[in-house]
Amino acid sequence: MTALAHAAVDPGADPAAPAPRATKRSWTAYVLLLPGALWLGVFFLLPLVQLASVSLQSRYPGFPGYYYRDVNLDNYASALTDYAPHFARSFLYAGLATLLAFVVAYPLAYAMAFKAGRWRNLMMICVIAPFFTSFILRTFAWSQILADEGWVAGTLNFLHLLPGGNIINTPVAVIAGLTYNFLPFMVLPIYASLERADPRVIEAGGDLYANGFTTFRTVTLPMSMPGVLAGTLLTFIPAAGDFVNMELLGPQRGKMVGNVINDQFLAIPGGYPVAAALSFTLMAAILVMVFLYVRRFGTEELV
Amino acid sequence: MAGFREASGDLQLESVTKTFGDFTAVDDIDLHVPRGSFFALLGPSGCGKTTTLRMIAGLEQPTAGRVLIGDTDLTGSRPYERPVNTVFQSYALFPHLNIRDNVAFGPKRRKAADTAKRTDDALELVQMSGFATRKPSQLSGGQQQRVALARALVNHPEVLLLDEPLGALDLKLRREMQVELKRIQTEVGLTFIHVTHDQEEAMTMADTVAVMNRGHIEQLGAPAALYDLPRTRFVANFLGQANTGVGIIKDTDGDHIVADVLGTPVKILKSRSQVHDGEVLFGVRPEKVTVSRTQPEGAGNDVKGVVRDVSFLGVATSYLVDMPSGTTWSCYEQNLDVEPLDLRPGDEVWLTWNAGHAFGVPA
Amino acid sequence: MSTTSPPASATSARSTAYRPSAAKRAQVWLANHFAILSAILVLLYLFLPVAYTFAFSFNDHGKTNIVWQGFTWEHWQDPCGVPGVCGSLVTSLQVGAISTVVATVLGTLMALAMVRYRFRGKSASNVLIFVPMATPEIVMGAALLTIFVQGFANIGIDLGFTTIVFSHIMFCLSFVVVTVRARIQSLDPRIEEAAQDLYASPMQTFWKVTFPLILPGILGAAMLAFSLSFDDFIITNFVSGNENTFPKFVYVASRRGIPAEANVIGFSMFVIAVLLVVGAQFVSSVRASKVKE
Ligand SMILES: Nc1ncnc2c1ncn2[C@@H]1O[C@H](COP(=O)(O)OP(=O)(O)O)[C@@H](O)[C@H]1O
Ligand SMILES: [Mg+2]
Repeated sequence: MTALAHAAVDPGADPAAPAPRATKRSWTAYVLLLPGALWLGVFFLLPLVQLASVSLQSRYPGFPGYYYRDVNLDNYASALTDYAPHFARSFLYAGLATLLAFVVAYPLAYAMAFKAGRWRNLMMICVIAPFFTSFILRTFAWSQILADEGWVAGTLNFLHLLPGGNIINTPVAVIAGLTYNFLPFMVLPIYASLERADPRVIEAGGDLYANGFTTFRTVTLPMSMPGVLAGTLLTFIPAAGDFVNMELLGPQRGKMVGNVINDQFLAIPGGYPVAAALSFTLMAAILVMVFLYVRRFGTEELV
Repeated sequence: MAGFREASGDLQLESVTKTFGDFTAVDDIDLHVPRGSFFALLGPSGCGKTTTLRMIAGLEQPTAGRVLIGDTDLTGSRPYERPVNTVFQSYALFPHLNIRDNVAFGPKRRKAADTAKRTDDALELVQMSGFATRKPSQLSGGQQQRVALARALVNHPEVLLLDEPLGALDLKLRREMQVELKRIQTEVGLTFIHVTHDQEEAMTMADTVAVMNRGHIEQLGAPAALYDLPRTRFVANFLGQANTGVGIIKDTDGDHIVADVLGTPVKILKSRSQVHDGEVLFGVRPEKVTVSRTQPEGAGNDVKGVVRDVSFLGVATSYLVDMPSGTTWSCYEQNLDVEPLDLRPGDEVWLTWNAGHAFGVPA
Repeated sequence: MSTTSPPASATSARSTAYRPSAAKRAQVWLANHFAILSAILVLLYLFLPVAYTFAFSFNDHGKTNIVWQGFTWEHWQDPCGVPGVCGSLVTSLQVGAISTVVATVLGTLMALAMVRYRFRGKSASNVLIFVPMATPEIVMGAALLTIFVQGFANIGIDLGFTTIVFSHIMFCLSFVVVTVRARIQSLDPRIEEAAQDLYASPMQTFWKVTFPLILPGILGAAMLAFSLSFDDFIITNFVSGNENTFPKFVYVASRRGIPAEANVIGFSMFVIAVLLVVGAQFVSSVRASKVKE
C-alpha cells in the first residue's frame, strides 16, 4: 500500500535512505535498461514524434480524413487563437481543483501520518479503494448527486444559497469532479512525506510557537513540501488534460481543451492536424509550467 | 563453488593503493599479517580503514598493488571467491532471514555437508543458540553483533575482517565484547583483522597494531612498543597521551642528543630519536614524569611549571601543569608516598623525567 | 467566535478548581480532534459516490438508471444480463493482467539499473522515465492513435486488444520504476555485499537477498499498475478501436444512463480489492506476530 504513496511522492531520491552507492559500472546496466527504454521509445517517444509531424500536416481539400506531409503552422495558429479560451479554462479549472484538493487532502494526510495510529493502513486502503469502482462510474454518481433533483442542489436552493438554481452542468460541477477524482494523488504523496518526518520536530515546533497555525506554517508545511510538490503536479497535470468530468458534469458550451482534442480526433473527420497541434501545445505548456514550478518550489531534484 | 580460491597462510598487502576520482583513500600500503594473529588497524575516522578492509574482502579492487593470502594472489577475484569473511560495521544482517538462516547462509552457498552442525556450533560459540528462530529486528545491538560474528566465523575463513564491530555498543557491553572477541579468536585461531578508531580497544586486544593516517600506515608493532616508542608525531599523539615540546638539536652527549626547547636543554637517547639534527619533537608519557615541590638534584631533564588542576583518582593522582613554553603537561603519579604531595592549583612545581623515557620524532 | 458566555465564566470564577466553560472545552476538543474529524469527513466524501454506485445497483430502472425508481435484486442475480458488460470486464481484467506483468518486470529491471549502476545516459533515462508521468493522458492517447493508425496499421497491427495492452504497459512502466526504485534505494547496499562476502554469486545474491527484500515494493508497484490499467479510460478510448473495456463500456453507456449491472460489477470490484488488501494485511500481521512468539 505504502508503495503507491512512495510512487507518487518520489520521482527523486528517498532522503531517509542510506546514501546509495552506485559503484558498479558495466554493460549489465544497459541490458537491464534496454527492454523498458525501448518500450518507452517505441510507445512514448515515437508516437510523440509522429504527433509532431501530424500537427504540421495539411488536409487534402475535398477528401476529409486525408492529409499530406507539410509544414503547416496554421494548425498551431488555430490552436493558439481559436482555442485560447479552452486552454484558459483548462488551466483555471485544473488550478482551482488542485488548490481545493490540497485543502481537502492535507488534513487527511496529516491525520493519517500523526493521528491514525493502528488505523493508518485501513485509512490508506480507504483512500485507494474507490479507484476500483471505475472512475467513470463515480463521476456519473456525482452527476446524480449534484443533479437538480438531488439533495445537494435541493438543500442549497432551500437555503437560497444557489442563485443560479443548479450545480450540474456548470463549471462548479466540473471543478468539484476534478477535485474529487484526483484527490488520492494529492493525499498519498503528502502522507508519504509527512510519514517520513519526525513527529518530535513538530512537537518541538509546538513548544517554540504557542500558536498552532504558526507551527504548521513554519515547521509542518515545509517538511511536507516535497509531497505537496509531487501531489500538486500529480493532480494538476491529469486535471488539465481531462475531458470526462466536463463531458459528464459540465455545461454544453465552454468546454476544456481536452474535449476539443478528443472531439477533433474521434468525432470530427479531418480534425487530426489541429488536434495534434493542440495536444502538443498542451504538453509543452504543462512541461514549461512543471519546470518553472519545480524550479521555484522544488526542495530536491525531481528528475 | 566455481572459482573459489583455496588459499592459506599469511595475509599480505603489497603496495596497495586505492583512489576515488582524484582522492587517494589508501596510499601505497604494505602489510604482512602472520596467520592466526589478532591484528588491529587503528586510525581516525576517514583515514581509509574500511577501504583497506574492503579491498581485502574483494568488495573493492585496488587501483594498484596486490592482495595475497599465502602464495595465492587474490587481486581481482570477487568477494565470493575469497576465503575471507567480514563482520560489517552496521552488521548488515539479512532482515528477511531468521538468525539460524543468517548464520547458515555462507555454508549453504558453499554446499557444506555439515551445515546444520556448523551453524549450531557457531551460535553456541557466540552464546546465541536460544535465539535461532528470531528475526534480526527482534535482537538488541549486542545480540546482532554476535550473530554477525557467528555468520562470518561459521565459514572458518582464512582471514576474518571486523569493521568497527563494537562501535555501536555502549561502553559496558563494549568492554565485555572485547574480552569475548579475544576469547573467540584464541579459541578458533583464525587471523583477525580488527578495525577500530578506539586506541584503547586496539591496544588491549591486538597482538599487532597498525596505526593508519590519511591513507598510509604510520607505524606498526606490538601495542607496548608503539606506546613506548612512537616514530611519528601522529602516533605519539594518537596512542595515549604525550607531553611534547618542539626543540632544536644543538649538541650530542654520549648516547644522547641534546635539544634546546625554549631555552631548556632536553636529552633524548639517540636510539630513541628518529631525527638527529635540526628540529625535533620530543615527548614523554604522563606516567613517566615525576612531580616535586623542589628541584631534584642531578636528574638533568627538569622544568619548572605551575599547577593548574589536580584530580585525585584513587590509585593515582593526575596533574595538569602549565609550562613556561605555553603548553600544558599532564602528569600521572601513583599514590605510593606515605606523605602525599598535597599540591594546589597555582603552586609551583618541578617536573623531571628519566632521559631514557623521552622520545624524539620529526617535528 | 465568542468562546465564553458571561454566566459560564461567572461559574468558573466561583468554583475553586479551575473548570473551563463548556464552550471552551468544546473548542479545545475540536482543536485536538480537528485533523481526525476532517479526515473522517474527507473519507466520507471519497466514499459518497461509491455508496451511490452501490445504491443504484438495486434500482429497478427502466431505460435510464438516473433517478431512483424502486428496489430490485434483479441486477445482482444476473450481472451479465446486459449485452457486452461482462465481455468488457473480462477484456479489462485481461488487459490489466498482461500489462501489469510486463510493466512490472520491465520496470523492475529498469529500477535496478537506475539505482545500482552508473552509466552514460543515466540522466537521459531519468527524463525518459519522468516525462510520461508529466504528460496528460489525452496527449499520450492522441500520440498513440496517430502512430497506430499511420504506422502500425501498415504492419498489420490494427486498433484493438493488442494496441490497448501496448499502451497500458507504456503508461504503467514509469510508475513501476519509481515505486520499485524507492524501495531499492531504501535498501542498505551492505546487505548485498554481505551476501557476496558469504560466497553468494551475483545471481544468488539477487535471488536470495535482493529480490526478497524488494518484493514488497514490486508487489506494490504491480498493484498500482493494475489499478491504473483497470481504471484507464482516456488512453484506452483513443487506441481501442472496436474493443470494449469496462470503463469504456460505462462511458459509452453513460449517454443513455448506465445499466445497474455495471454498478454491480463496479461495486464488486471495489469490494474484492478491499478484501484482498485487508486480507493480505491481516495475513502478514498474523505472520509477524507469530514470529515474535
Ligand atoms: N566509494 C567511495 N567514493 C568516494 N570516496 C570514498 C568512497 N569510499 C570511501 N571514500 C573516501 O575515502 C576515505 C576513507 O574512507 P574509509 O575507508 O571509509 O575510512 P574509515 O573507515 O577509516 O573511516 C574517506 O574520506 C571517504 O570519504
Ligand atoms: Mg569505516
